[in-house]
Amino acid sequence: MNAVRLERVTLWRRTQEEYTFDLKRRIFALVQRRYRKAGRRRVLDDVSLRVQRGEKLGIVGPNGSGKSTLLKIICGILEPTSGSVETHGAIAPLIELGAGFDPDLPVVDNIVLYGVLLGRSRDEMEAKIPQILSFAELEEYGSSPVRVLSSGMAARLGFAIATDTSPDILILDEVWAIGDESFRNKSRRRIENLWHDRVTVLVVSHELQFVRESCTNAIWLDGGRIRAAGPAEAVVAEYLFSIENSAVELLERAKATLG
Amino acid sequence: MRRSFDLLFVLTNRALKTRYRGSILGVYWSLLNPILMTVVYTAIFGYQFRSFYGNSLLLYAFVVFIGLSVVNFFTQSTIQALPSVVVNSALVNKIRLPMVAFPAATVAAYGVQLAVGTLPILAILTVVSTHQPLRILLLPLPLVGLILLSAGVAFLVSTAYVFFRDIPHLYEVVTFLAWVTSAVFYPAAIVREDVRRLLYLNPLFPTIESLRQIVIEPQLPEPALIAASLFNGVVACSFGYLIFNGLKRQFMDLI
Repeated sequence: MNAVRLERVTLWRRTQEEYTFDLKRRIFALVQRRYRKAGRRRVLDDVSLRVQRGEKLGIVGPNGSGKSTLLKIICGILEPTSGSVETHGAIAPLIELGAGFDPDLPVVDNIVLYGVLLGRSRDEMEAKIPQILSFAELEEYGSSPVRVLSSGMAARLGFAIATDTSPDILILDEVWAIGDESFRNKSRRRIENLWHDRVTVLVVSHELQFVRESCTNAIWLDGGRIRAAGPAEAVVAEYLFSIENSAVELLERAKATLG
Repeated sequence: MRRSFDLLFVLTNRALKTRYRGSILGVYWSLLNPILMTVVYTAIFGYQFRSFYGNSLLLYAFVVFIGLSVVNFFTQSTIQALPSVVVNSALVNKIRLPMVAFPAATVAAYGVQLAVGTLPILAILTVVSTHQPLRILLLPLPLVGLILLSAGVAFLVSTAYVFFRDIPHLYEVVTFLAWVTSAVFYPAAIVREDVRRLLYLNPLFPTIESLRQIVIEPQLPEPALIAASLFNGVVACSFGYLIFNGLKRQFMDLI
């Protein structure tokens, strides 16, 4: 069964640099007939993808190739311009830690707030406050505002909330290890627990070693298109080969110009 | 549905707690502003205008307080809702969320303040001036109209702000217009008749007028005014929501 299915997904986005966020200027431009529509850029180009339930898919490619955008499409944050997206099961995005925190609210309120933002119910989060506090090792801080936590503590709290339930589809934009040495072991164990057989994982990573070892399959994105798809080992090898090739090419060209 | 409700709840809770620093007294502190303003207006204009209110300074003060409460609610809640989608851009870029919850929660937080702070005061004023405690039951109706109207405008301005970041300057003019045409501190009767008809175009007018009728008039309030207040609210809220919903697909490219 497919957990995620993308059918010929193409996404055009407005380029923000050219957009006038200014009503005054826009009206002046219209009056003086200088107005031109902000440019659009194709971020994803005819991407088709099927991810089986339980599959661990690594997404590799250079910066700006559309990896994070692809994850956003799968999460439903962005809608494709054309093509279709289908997902089955609860999706948990493991977002940048602490993006949902309000520094002035007490830690317990932030646990509920963050959990609800991530799609859980309020009752569920209320009930889980003690176990989350204990995993993050922040029992004494329940009623303090998040502002007083150190950045490491806040990261631990975010991790504890985000990884507290096990989803059907896990979305990871870069894998993280957080905290001091002892917490890092704990967080790695928890990620490993989430990484069980039934869960579908989609992970964007620049650590090719990690993709090769932990993922079953991989895709290689380049300029918004899928350059290669298949077993992780093969795709990573192909990707590496192309990087080395272009590096060699670059070197040779440099040599040639230097004479 | 469940998710939207939970989200609205936690965001409203966040707005209330950060605004009042966790103290319920904060709600009452926020009443200080309209009460002091009422005192100032009464001191300056009271003697001039009391003849329109049975020569009673107290009734003039009640009228001012009602007008101030309504206009302040509208202005403050919509001004705060204006940037609500844009300031949460980090969040909506990471998680799929019903974005309409951001402006809605801002207005809802002010709604809570209205219900626990302003409403009891209006109830007391009603009993003091009319000796008819049953009238209190009518008070929530125009207030619901007011909340819906503000929510509708909040949806519109928060949408506009995504596209145009200079909207706050323009919106200042709109709120000033709402304030000055609401006849807060002057009796509408002093305005020349053809201009007065323009005042009735202010969508806050039926809310303020029906609240004044409920709180101070000896005769029963006009049902048509209360209905108009609710009608304005429902129309504004649905219109604002439709616009927000229709344009929200474009938001992600701009925030």
